[in-house]
Amino acid sequence: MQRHRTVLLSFVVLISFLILPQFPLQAMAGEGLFSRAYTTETVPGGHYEVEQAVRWRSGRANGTYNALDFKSEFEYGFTDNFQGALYLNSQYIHADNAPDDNDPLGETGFFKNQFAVTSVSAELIYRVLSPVSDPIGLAFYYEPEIDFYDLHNGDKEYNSFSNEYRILVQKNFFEDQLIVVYNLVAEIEFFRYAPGNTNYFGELDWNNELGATYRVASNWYAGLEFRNHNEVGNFYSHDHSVFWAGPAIHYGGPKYWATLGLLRQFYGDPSGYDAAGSYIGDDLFLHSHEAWETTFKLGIPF
Amino acid sequence: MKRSLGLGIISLSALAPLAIVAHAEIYMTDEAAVHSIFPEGKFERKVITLTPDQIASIEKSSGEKVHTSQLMTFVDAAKDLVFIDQILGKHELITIAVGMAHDGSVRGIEILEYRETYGSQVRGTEWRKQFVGKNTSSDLKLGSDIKNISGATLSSSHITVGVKRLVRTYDTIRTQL
Repeated sequence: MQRHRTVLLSFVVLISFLILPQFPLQAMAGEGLFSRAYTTETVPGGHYEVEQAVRWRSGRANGTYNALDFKSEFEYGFTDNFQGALYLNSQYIHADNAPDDNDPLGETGFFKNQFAVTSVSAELIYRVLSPVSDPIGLAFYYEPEIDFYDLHNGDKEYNSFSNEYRILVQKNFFEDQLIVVYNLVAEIEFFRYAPGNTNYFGELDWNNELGATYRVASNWYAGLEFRNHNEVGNFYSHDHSVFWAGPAIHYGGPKYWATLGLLRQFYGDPSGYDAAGSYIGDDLFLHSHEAWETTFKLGIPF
Repeated sequence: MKRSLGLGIISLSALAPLAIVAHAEIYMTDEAAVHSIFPEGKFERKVITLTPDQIASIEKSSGEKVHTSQLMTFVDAAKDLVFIDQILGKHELITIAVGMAHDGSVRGIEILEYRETYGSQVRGTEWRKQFVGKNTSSDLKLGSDIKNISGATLSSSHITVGVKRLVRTYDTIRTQL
């Protein structure tokens, strides 16, 4: 039954993206210029946008770890400054002898090979200031999410949910050709790994995401992105901090836009060996995060 | 398990048909724009080259950067002039025509080429009409004497800035026409 549901949902996603190109496309907005960081741009009122993102995360301290995160999004502009979106998130994960926070096998690593719909979520963005007409762009972002599977190890979750909040800041320079964005992110997660559990595990993730991109030619932007992720277990205990950086290139045209970004972890804390004596990377935290992530996004406004 | 991998690959390959080629939207030729702004005039195409001093003067008075020293214009005997110029759009260049009457005021503007799919409201007659009569003493500032088009802020902002630069340019080159 579970398998049938998964296959059915995958089929719906697949069909959606085969059919969508047949529709006339007449708008352009809400572009993602980076792998992670958001701009303050919103879909104009009365317009729609469909977006598909694929993120490949790979490289942990031991064994093999590859995860493909699929994020299918439908955005709608309620007004020129207020947009909403719905997400369907799925994942293919292949792990063999890889470490993870919740690895029941300890140093032997965990094994997983599955495709699953991992979560559904919604998104609301309200823009207060425009980076074009105001000295600085400012927007607020909220994303509630219901989780079915853990993104890091593919474990089933029960009645799990999270709320993500972002403050989006953008400053444009040189006739809007250089775009600099900063996102302050807070994600509050509550999850349970067994159906009978009455108590939730909780954690706070807070991130800093910074990106700068320059219009190198008509339709093309090239930039750099930096991401810092901090995890606070049970909302009081610092678990780890991880830092990534890498390039992002973006194409924007009248019919669609696309972004390809690469992030490489360059520092992690803790690193070396964890409290249990397991190797987690030289100056890196490769226990439950990866060395590399490659993101491809495609957006179709209409 | 193989089915799981297959679904992942299928999801990726589903993106392949989306290689859509963009088409330029050309609404008007240069000559048609000149005739639209000055229906009665007899204009000749003329390329004007700005000197470094003129560029500096225009940049100082308009507060905007001059991207090229070569100006494509149409001029008549009375020194009425139409600039054919390109403005930075969100993704591509927007080609505009700005008609200057010999008294230094804007006679009219036309959008010749607009390839940004969103924001085409800048082609609307009412919005373009706001520029008529503007001269060097005008603010020519979005949100001040030129209304913003909500949802097309970047295009309307850049066109306004471009017109301001061309008004100052006309003032600078008028004596050499």
